[in-house]
Amino acid sequence: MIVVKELTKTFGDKKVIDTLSFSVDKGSICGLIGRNGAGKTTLMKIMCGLLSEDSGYVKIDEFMTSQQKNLVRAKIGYVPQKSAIYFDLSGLENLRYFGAILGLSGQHLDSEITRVVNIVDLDEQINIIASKYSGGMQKRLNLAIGLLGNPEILFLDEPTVGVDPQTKKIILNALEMIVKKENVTIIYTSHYLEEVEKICDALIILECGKILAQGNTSELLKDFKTAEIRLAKPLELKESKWNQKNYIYITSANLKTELPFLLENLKDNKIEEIMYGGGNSLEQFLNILEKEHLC
Amino acid sequence: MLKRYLANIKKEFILMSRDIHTLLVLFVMPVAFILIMSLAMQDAFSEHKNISFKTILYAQEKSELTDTITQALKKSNSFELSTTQDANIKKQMDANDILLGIYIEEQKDTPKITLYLSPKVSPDIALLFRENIYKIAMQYETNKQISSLNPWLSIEDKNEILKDKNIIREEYIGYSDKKTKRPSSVQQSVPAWLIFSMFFIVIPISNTFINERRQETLSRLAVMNISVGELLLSKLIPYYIINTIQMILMVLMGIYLVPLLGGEKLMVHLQDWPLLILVSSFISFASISFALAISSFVKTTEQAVSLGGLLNIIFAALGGVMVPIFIMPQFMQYITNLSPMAWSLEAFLAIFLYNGDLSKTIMPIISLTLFGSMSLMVASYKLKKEVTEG
Repeated sequence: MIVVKELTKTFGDKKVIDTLSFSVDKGSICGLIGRNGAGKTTLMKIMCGLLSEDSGYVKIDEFMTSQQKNLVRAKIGYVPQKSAIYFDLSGLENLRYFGAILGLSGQHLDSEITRVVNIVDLDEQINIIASKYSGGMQKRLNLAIGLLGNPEILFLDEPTVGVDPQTKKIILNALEMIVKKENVTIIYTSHYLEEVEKICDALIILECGKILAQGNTSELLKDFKTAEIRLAKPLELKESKWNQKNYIYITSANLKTELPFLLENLKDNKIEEIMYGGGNSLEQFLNILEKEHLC
Repeated sequence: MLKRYLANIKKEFILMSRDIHTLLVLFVMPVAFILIMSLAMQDAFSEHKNISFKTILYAQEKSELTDTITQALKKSNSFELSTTQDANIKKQMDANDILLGIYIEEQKDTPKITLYLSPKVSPDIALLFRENIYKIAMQYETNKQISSLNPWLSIEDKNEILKDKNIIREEYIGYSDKKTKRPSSVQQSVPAWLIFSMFFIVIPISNTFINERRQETLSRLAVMNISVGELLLSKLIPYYIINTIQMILMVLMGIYLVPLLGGEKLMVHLQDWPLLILVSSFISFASISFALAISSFVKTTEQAVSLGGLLNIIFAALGGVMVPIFIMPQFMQYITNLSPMAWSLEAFLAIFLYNGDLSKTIMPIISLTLFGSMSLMVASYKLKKEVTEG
C-alpha cells in the first residue's frame, strides 16, 4: 500500500506539490491526471525517491521513501516518459544490461527477459538495434525494462505519449494483465481520459499541485462522458469562434450552448468531421471540474 | 556490485564499437597525425645535415688535453670551433647564437670538462657532440694511463676509469630545466598526438552521457539504486581502458611502424613501460573527468562535440601539441602551463628524454590529478543536482 501524507514540494517560489494526501491500494491501478505543470511528474519522482519532499511523507508498505530509498527502490519499477533505453544496443542487449544492473544473472535473467518480452509482445524484434525500432516499439521496450525484476509497484509516466493505437492497445493490455496475474500496484500518469477510464481503478486529478478531485474512476467520469462529440475545424470558418480552438466538445455540461452552433454549421454543410467519444477530452473535463474547484 | 561494473563496461564497449566516427577519432586520427608529423618534421627536427655547428671553447690553462680537443674538433667537419679567453661561456653562447660550449677546468690530477648545450640543440646533435668529446677525452686518458705504466688495461677498463674519474660533466642551458632537452620528431609527435586523441574521449562520452541525461536513463538507473559516484566510476573504467589501449598502440607505432616508413625510431626501454602506463593513467583520469564535466553541462551531443573539440584544439595549440614548446618564445612557454595537454606532454617527454626519470613526472602528474579531480567534482555536483532536482 502507498500512503502519501501532506506532501509539499517547492521549486524556488513555486509550490509544485501542495499538501497532498491520498493512498493507493495494493494491486490497483491509480491514474494521476492533470494538465502540464500540474505536478504529476514531480509527485511521481518523489514517490520513487528521486526527489526529496519539503514536508510530509510518502510511505510504501512499511518504508519511508525519503529515509529508506534503497529499500523502497528494491520494490519499484520506473518507466520514464521518454524512452530511457540505449538506442545503439539491441532490445535484448538493453534488457541484459538493465537486468544486470538490477542484479539479475544467468537463468534468472534469461527467464525474466523472456517473461517481459512476451508481455510487451517484442519477441520477434528483440535482436534488432533499438534505433531501428518504431517509436511504439521503443516505448514497449521502455516498459519491458521497467517490468524487469518483477517489481511490486510500477510507476509509469505517460507511457503512451506519441504512440500508435496498436502500441497503445498492447501497452494497456500488458498493464491490465500484470495487475491481474502478478498483483502489481501501478501508478499511471496520463493526458488521455479514455486510457485512464479503461485501466485505472482510481483517479487523482491534479491541478496546480493540489488534488482537484479523486475517487473511483467510473464514478468520476460517469456524468462527463455521456454526450461527447468532437468536431474537426473546417478551414473556411477561420474567422468564427472556432478560431480559438481546433475543435469543440459537446458534453452534458455545455449541450445547451454549443448545440445551436453545431446545428447551424451542419445546415450550411461546413462541418468536416464529427467524432463520437475518444479524443483528448481532458482539457474539457478539467474546465468543467474547475467551475467548482479553482486553484 | 562487480557485476554492475562489468555490465557498464560491456555496454560502453558495445556502444563505442558501433560508433565508427568515434573509432576513427580515437584510433585512426592519432595514427595519421603521428605518421604524417613524424615523417614530415624529421628534417626540421634534425638541422645538422651538411652543417657545422658553432662551438666555443674556454680553457683555464693551456694543457695537453686542451690541445687534443682543439685539434680534434678542428679536424672534424661537424664543428666550427672558436676559443675564448672569457670564462662566461653561457653569456657568449646566448649573445652569439652558439649552440655548443666546452669549459675545461684544470685540477690537480685530472682536468674537468663541462659541456654546454643550447636549448636549440636536438638530441642527435647533442649525441654527436658528446660522443666526439668522450672519444677525445678517452684517447687522452688512455694515453695517460699507458704512460703511467698500466699497459695491461683493457679498453673497457680504460673506459671504466674514465667514467669513474668523471672528468666530463654535461649541462643544458636555457630558460628552465624541465624544457631544455629538445625532443626528436618522433619523440614529439607520438606523445603529442596521443594526448590529443586521448582528450577526444569527449566524443564517445558525450554521445552516451548526454543521451542518458536527455532520455531520463540516469533517473531510471538512479531508481535501480545506482549512485552518482558509481555512475561516474562506471564511466571512468571503460574509457580508461580505451585510453590505455590508445597509448600502447601509439607508442608501439613509434617504435615499429615509423622507422619502417623511413622515420626515426622511438626509443623506449622495457623499464619505461610501467612509468608510461602510470603517466597515461593520470592523463586518462584528467581527460575523462574533463569530458564528463563538459557532458554534464551541455544539452546536446553537437554542443559537447563543438565545445569539447574547441577546448581541445586550444589546449593542443597552447600545450605544445601543434607547435612544439621549445620553439615558442619565452612568454608563450609560460602560458603553456595553463594547458593540461602541456602537463601531459611534459610527463611523457620526461620519460622519453630523461630515461624514465620519475621525479620529472611528479609535477605534471600532480597538476593532472588536480585538474581531473576538479572536473569530476563539477560533473558529480551537476549530475546529482539533475537526478535529484529534475
